[in-house]
Amino acid sequence: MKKLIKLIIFWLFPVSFILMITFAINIFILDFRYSHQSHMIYQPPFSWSKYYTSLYFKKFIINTFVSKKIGLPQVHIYVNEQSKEKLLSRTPNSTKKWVNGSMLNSDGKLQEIQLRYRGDNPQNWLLEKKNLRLKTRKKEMHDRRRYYEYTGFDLELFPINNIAKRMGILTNNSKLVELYINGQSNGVFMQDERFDENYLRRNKIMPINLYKGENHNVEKRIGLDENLYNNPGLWVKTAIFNQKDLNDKSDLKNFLTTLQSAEVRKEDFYNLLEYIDLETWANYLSFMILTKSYQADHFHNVRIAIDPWNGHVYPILQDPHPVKIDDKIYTLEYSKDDLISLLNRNSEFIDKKYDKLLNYVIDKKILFEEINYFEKINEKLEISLKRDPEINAKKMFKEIEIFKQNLKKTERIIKNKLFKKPSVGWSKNLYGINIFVEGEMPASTIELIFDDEIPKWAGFDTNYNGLIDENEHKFFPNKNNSIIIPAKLYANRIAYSLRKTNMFANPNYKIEASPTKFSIITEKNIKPNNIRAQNHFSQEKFFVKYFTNFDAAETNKFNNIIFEELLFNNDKKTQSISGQIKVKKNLVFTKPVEISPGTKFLISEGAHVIFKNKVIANGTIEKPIIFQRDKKKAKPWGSVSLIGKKTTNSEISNIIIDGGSGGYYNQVSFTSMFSLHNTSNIFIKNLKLINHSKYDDMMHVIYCDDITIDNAEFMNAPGDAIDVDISTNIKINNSKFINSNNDAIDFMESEALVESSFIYGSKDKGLSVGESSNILIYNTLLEKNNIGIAVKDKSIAKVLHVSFRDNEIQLSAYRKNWQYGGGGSASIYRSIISAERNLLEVSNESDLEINDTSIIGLNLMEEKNILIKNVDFLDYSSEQPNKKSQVVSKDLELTHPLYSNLQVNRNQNRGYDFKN
Amino acid sequence: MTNKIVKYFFIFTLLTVFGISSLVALDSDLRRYLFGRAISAYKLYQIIALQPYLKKDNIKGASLQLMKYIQTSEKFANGKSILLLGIYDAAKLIEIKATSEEDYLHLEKVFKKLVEQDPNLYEAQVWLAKSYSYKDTELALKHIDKAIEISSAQDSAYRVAIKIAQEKGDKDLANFYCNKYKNSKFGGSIPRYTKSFFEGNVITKMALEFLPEKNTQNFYTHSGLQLNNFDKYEFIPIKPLDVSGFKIYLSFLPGIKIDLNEIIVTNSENLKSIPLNEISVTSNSAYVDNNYKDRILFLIMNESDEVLNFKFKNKISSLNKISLKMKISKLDLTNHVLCN
Repeated sequence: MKKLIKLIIFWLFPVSFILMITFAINIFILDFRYSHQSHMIYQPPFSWSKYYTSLYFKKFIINTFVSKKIGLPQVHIYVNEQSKEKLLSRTPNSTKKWVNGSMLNSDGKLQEIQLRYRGDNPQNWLLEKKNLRLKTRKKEMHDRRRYYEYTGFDLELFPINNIAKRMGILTNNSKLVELYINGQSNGVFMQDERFDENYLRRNKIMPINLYKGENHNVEKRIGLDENLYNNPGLWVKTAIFNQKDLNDKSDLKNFLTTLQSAEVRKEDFYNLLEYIDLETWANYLSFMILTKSYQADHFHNVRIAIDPWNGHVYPILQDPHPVKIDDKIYTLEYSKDDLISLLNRNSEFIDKKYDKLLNYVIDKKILFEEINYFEKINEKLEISLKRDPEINAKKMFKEIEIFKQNLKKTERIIKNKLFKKPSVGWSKNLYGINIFVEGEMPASTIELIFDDEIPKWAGFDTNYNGLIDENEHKFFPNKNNSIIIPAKLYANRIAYSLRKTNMFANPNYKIEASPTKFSIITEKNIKPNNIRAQNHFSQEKFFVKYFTNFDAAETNKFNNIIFEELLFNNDKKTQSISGQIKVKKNLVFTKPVEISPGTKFLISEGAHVIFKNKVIANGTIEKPIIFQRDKKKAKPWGSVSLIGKKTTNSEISNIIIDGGSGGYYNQVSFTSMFSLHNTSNIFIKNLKLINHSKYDDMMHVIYCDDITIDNAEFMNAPGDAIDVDISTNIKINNSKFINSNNDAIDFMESEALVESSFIYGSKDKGLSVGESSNILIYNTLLEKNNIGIAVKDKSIAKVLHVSFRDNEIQLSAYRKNWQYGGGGSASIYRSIISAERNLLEVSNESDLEINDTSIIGLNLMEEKNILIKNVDFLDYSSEQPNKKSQVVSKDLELTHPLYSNLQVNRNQNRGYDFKN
Repeated sequence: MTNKIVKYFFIFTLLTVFGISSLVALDSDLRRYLFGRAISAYKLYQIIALQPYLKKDNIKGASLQLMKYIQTSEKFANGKSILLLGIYDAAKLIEIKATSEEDYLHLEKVFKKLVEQDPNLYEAQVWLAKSYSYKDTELALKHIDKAIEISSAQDSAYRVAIKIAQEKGDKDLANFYCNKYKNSKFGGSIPRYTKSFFEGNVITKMALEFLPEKNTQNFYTHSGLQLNNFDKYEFIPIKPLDVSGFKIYLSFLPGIKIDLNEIIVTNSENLKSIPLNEISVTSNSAYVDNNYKDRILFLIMNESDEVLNFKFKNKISSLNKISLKMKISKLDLTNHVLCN
């Protein structure tokens, strides 16, 4: 027996020894790669033995006992072992080299792809569930997406991303899937988007600079201060504004410069607000409060896009994670970077943010929707989670329940904060009274109650000089012997640190409300007997406590009293302009403007005339309104532009724009001499544009909605006559486009109607319908253009009653920009196509339908992808002059037949109708 | 007998190896400790290995030693390895000793490698520019521009550029970099082994503390310091305070001038400007230029934390705002012969 035992030990020991050494070496290599290989990666100790033991056990259970039912949507990827090994062969850089693989697409076919791991942290690719980035071929995209990212399911990340999406914040369109690799379930993953140019286009944003702010892990810069907002050199571009050099970061530099000077100079704070769309950022911050998702801070997880077309900076949510914050230090103005900390000190911004919070918590119940979402997907999620090698399904569901409870709790906490009675007091002073506001909530609708004598007026002394100045409003008594001031008073927000080291880092850094006094002066210094105020959010009224002795600071430069817009909208005061206006430098109108007929703007080289508010510029035929160079031989001026939502409902008629070009105004770019940026409901009639130079377009419409251009004339455009980008409801009627050097009308991601117009002699395209546009062309003549209509990149063109005459290529449908994943689709109905040679080009990815139309001349079209119904083919020589189709004079007056008059008869009522 | 001893020794060794490897493989904390210490020890060894060369001013030897270090790190990882910080420390030590053209030419390969490993390493770009300045000024200027792009506020890149301009006798080039330097405020450095008041050394941030100090003090921060203009920097305490003075906390880059010409205090009664001759000032390591009676002028020479102490002659009660009108500017890197 002893011998036997000895023998067993003798043979067992070397085997165990070898196994153990092998195991140990593998662990050492793994751990080395995990924690000791990459620059600036610090991981807590990781027990690989425990991890692998539980992993293999779980896999055994999954393979043996767990059902094969379909849970979440499945994604099947196939990659050979060699490629997998290649990815981990020489870490960390090898993880970023693409290897070949394949994916099962929705048709059940295998599609070739390339894949790699993503993330600098080895946690992303050393464990069993690896985070992947896939790319398809350019020709084989799905839903205009080429890149797909797969990240292991994270309970904190996924629902927060969903909440952000519902709130309209730019973020990942994340989807839960079950990822299979080589036929084996790899568990639940989040299918994410990559932030690049394609992402911007899918979100209806132009290709602009998208900046990534990461000064963390492998991307940490040695020896440099880590604050992103203090150094444009720390940012990297992930999408590029193609009109500037790849390495140009001037837009970011300008933004950061403005941000820094905004803290010290009030006028620069207003310049900063030109970058910041308050709606967007208030929305973003209210999201951060609701989800406590403060993952973006001064050194990492920041993504912003700087849009030179509307001048705005957009935040893009990256890696949202709730952060544990001590309730004792947490406020609604909790800030982790320079930009947010500055915005959180501005009363107007705070007000908008609180309004948004109220809306999401009370009206939209946005957190509640997320709870419902989990309930909907519960069953499918459970099925897939049971097959997840790393996640314990039971534990996960418990965590989901806790998460749901936390969401409910957050809703309650926010509601309680918003509905809390504001901390307000009042006292008497030499000139009137002081109202003190403390705490987060504002005091609103201040009611001064008088018993005996009633003053004739009362007003806020905003500059504390003891007087009501001209720009300070007066309020008058009502029937109830009180004066109601419809204003919101916020306490100052002060930035300070609790510790001397790392002052700007949390939890040391705080933005806190500090007691603030507001001075009210009454007529004859008559003091009220009582004051009542209201919580703006709960609408509850309360009496304000009187103090004999109380002191507080005056409002700081970021704190303005917020008056109700209706009463104190400065914008109501309209400026009238007439006569000759010499414009030597940029002329910017921030208030509504009315321009009289016959007004002439004489504009110097490079100067712009910019309207940031409503403009009514109705000239007459005899006395048009003219924008021209200040001297005949002067160099071109810049642009006449309408920028921003406040210009909505503007009217422009009988206008001549002569001799402009384009340029820059602060951070906004103009590529035309007449520009409409980010506006809506604009009516333009009798517009003439001539002598444009230097820049691409004569007129540029971008980010607009509901724009009518009626009877416009575009002569000899050096580039495009009109460029329409990411706009909807655009109507161009009764207009002429003569001899454009490039395209007459160029559409990108837009929806429009082109009606009763004449497009002649364009050196490239008469109409360029591109990049997912949807255009209806009706009763229009396209003559002697290089290409009559070009339809490309998943765009749709519907052509009705149009004459194509003598264009080199009558119509072309093709794929140009791979980002859209397809060609163009065109339908021609009841039209005339005539030329000696009628060339119609339709690529493999495109299609064309021609219905009830005449084709006069040689037919040069390949009939692949062309559907022809009820079409006459006639010889060119047999074309009879047709009064309806002949151009008889230069001065064209276009009319169109009413649709109800159309006959079904062949060749009748096709094309346009010209009158002499 | 001897055989037995050998046999038992062999078994003992095997068992020890088996035991240690099992322990390290299974105990993650111990493994972390051992690996971490081993790497730190290696980094320390590399620094010590340079000492004999540096003590003898043997830059060539030091650069070869450093090159070996870099080559080892390339075996460690394909990409930026954990040793990169150690290599940077070592390179910095050597560069301080380098003074001549020969020294920099020896170091050129090392700096080139560093830049290849990390193109965003500011100092490596500057060092490489210095090396190139001896043989290819265009290339040197390219790296200087790259360094300035990475961190425009720091002076070392500009110094190299101005030296090149001096060698070439190119006043326009010198002026270009002088002006650029004077107007650049983005970027900054970070102390290697500590954290400053504001994490790094930058010229855009400051903080103010009201005196007298209390147990729980508040440091009122400002992150919008501007260059070359007199601006009003306002600080409002959380609650009105009785103050006898204040402290300003800075973590500037070296070579900064602070020109303070007005201090306005506001309390419940009034707003007044404190006469500068009623304020005494001291500091940790700044210098005061007393040539001007109508202003207080500090010269900050160190790249470190700085505290400026201001004491009023008379106490101010219930202060609810203080405004400092001051101008921050950079001292010149050269004289007027090169830069206007």
